[in-house]
Amino acid sequence: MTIASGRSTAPYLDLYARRGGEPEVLRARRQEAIERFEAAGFPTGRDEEWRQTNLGSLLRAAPAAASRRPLQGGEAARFLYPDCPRMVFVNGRYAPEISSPPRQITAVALAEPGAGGDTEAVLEHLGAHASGRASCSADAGVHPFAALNTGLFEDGAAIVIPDGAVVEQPLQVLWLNAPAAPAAESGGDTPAVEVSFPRLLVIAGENSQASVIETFAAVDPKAGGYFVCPVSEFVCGAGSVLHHTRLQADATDAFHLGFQHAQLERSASFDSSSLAFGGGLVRNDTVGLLDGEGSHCTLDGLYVIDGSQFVDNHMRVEHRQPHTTSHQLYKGVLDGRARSVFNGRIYVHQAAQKTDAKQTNRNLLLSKSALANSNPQLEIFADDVRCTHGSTIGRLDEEALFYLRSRGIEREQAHAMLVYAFARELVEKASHEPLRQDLESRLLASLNGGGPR
Amino acid sequence: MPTAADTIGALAERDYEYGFVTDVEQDTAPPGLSEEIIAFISAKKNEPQWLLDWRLQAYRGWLKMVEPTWANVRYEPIDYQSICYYAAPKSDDDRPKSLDEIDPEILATYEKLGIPLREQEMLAGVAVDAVFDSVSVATTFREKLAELGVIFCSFSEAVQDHPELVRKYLGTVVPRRDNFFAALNSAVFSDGSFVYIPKGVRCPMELSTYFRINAMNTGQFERTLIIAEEGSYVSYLEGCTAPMRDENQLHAAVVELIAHEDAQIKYSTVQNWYPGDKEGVGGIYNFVTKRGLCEGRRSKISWTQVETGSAVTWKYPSCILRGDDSVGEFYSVAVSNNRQQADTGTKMIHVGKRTSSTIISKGISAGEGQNTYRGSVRILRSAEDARNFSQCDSMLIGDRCGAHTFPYIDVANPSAQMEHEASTSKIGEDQIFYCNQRGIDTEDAVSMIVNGFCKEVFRELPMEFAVEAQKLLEVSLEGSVG
Repeated sequence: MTIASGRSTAPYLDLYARRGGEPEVLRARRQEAIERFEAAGFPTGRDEEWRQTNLGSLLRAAPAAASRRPLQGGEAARFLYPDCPRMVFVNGRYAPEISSPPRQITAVALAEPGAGGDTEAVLEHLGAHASGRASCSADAGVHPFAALNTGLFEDGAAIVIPDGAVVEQPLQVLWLNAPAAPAAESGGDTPAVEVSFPRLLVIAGENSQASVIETFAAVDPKAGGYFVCPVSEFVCGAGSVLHHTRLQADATDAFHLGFQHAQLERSASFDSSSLAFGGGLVRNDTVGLLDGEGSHCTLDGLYVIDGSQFVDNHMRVEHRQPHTTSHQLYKGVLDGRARSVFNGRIYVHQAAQKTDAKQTNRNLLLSKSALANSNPQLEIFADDVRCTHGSTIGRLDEEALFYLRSRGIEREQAHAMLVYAFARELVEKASHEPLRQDLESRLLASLNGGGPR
Repeated sequence: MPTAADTIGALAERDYEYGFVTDVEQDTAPPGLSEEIIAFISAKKNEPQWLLDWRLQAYRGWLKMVEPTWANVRYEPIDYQSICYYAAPKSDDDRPKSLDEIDPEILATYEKLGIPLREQEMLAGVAVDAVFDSVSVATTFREKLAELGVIFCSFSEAVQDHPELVRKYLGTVVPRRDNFFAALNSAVFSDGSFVYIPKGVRCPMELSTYFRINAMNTGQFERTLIIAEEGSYVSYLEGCTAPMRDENQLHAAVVELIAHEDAQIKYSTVQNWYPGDKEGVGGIYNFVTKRGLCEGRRSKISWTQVETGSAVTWKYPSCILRGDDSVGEFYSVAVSNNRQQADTGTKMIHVGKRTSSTIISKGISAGEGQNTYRGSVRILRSAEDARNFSQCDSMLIGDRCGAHTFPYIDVANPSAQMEHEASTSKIGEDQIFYCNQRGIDTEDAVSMIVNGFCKEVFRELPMEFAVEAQKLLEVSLEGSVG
């Protein structure tokens, strides 16, 4: 097999060969995943699922294992919510000195020996859902980056919520990136990227309730040149209620290719919000499997991007059982030369009668050079269902602007007010007050960065 | 009162009403595709050298292409070497001058199809360019149109009589290497229709062509070219039925429309080719490339289609809105019953300023049919204040069919406004019950509800077609309510 130059999987396979210690029992699963990755190779523009995602700049860069770097005092503090129990990972490795995991549930680092990361429940599920294997319908294919993560992750968080437990405080998992200064690797033109593979597994026991906040951030927002390739798996037991917020605030020239997978048992509810502000090349693949009767899943998202940022959200919700419901609401604010892709697919199996699925994508273009792509898709094999999708792309309403101006509000301010009004629905959703305030200030900051055009 | 299940049974048994084969002698090329065959077709039709070269270049391009697999349809691979690429009724050498001279058997065929040429001539005021297999055998109302300067003739005649127009416009909207099936068509197209509406002329009647696939093992490769000069208007109807037969037949047509400044083209299709039997055996493969170019300012192209036939449909009538203020419209009803598969939709490419497009698509799936809407709306950076509205509704009848929607929306201009909506539903038991209560039997109730569902599209059809379309829908669907 010939591989076009720059698309070779070899450097990543080399990382696999050179990886350090790993939880012993995972070896077989990892081997299987890396083989699948090798067989699939990197996707190209010819793959329908990756048609609009140009990986060129990432694949031209030479991958290097993430450096080990101790945190300077207080570097992580501004990303943490003070009253939340937390687990902090720096460059994909656990930093116990600044973490304070909760006591009443199991929340452990996978690589920490003897911490409980090798309990039966964890091993049963870890990599079993999102190993990159076609975990849903046959045509979903292999997700190469999920397979790569399964093959290469060094550390991660496993959270097990016992049956019936109700956890009041959200648990924060902070994935902090602090790449070493790009000095050493000056051999040739190929830029080097430090790669980290965050891994999260959440197992919600029967009738349990919890919320998890994932934060992806860079210590220095200007120091990009890193590649973060996270995988999160959520296993929602019967009757469980799991809230998930995913705040992505990476450096503006970082690569972020993530994969999330939620599996829902009977009457389980999974509610996820994904908020993307950072990253240069960002792609998120989210899979929701409604595997139990009466289960419900909400996948919402907001992306506020500028400059030459690119954000691609791929969603796949599978209704496999009757009486399942799903909602998706994605909103985008695009400025500069930013580009976004929304690709949501609702797949209703023949057994899933009485499905109620709704999918909405709204995009606001603030500049002449921004580009929004929206592909909401329905595949339906059952007849007694209600499925709708909607998509809009447009700019700010001139009349609304005029209304505000006529009441003496400055143009810039009126502009910011309207954009804020467009996006706030997704920020207000956050029920944890410090989180909501954080999201709000990030949204406002990104609006004040530019003015009206 | 018969139960829904009984009705399904009875109607599922119903055979294809228009299935029969007429024996007419054919002058047929041997099966297979090669440069020789293309030269044979070209010679047979007495074509100029430039057209032969054009065909051969398309063929050479086609050889390097691979058959597309992205569509949501499954079918047996096609052996392109087992297809006959040319078939013409024997009477080609001495073309009939009027209807009386036409082979009575052909006339009888039309009679069975309910297209009485004479009646149409008198009653409907429709000029019919009837295509029997590949060569036109009858054209009516030609003189009347000629008075206005309208050219309405078969494609081969146009090549002989108006080569300058054909050469100027052929392949300008659908390039000969546009896609696999368009390239195949460009290489071997047999005949089709040619329409030219001169400046400022409003075509006084609906122009219509009835297509008919008849000979065994002959693919139909129609080529239609419609040119509307500045300020003109034309409405063109295309309708088709085909006889029952067992082997899959390939149909790869190309339709090109060009609308100049202030011109309007309305193109309506009712497609009812043989869909295969209940097991999905036989049936037509319909791989069509249709595209219109709104070249001039304020031009308008409107596609309306009612797709009830064919085993596999692969068809995306598109509009390129290049002129400022130009308008593109797409209205579609697609029905897939039994094992039919339809992957259809449209592409609206907004280039000019203040261009607008409307897409209304209604998909109906019954039995084990699979119905896919696949559409693309692209608003380029130059398209200031472009506007699009899309609505795709699906209706599922029965629990073994599928309805799929794959819209692609790419917007590169912030002043654009685009909206897309889609929904999926079924015929509610309460709706049926309501009708039953008022003395309407289940079958009529279904027919009524489906017709209501498709109303927005039928409204766009010319009157004669609207009637036929409703009838077709009833034949295809009645009683399949689950």
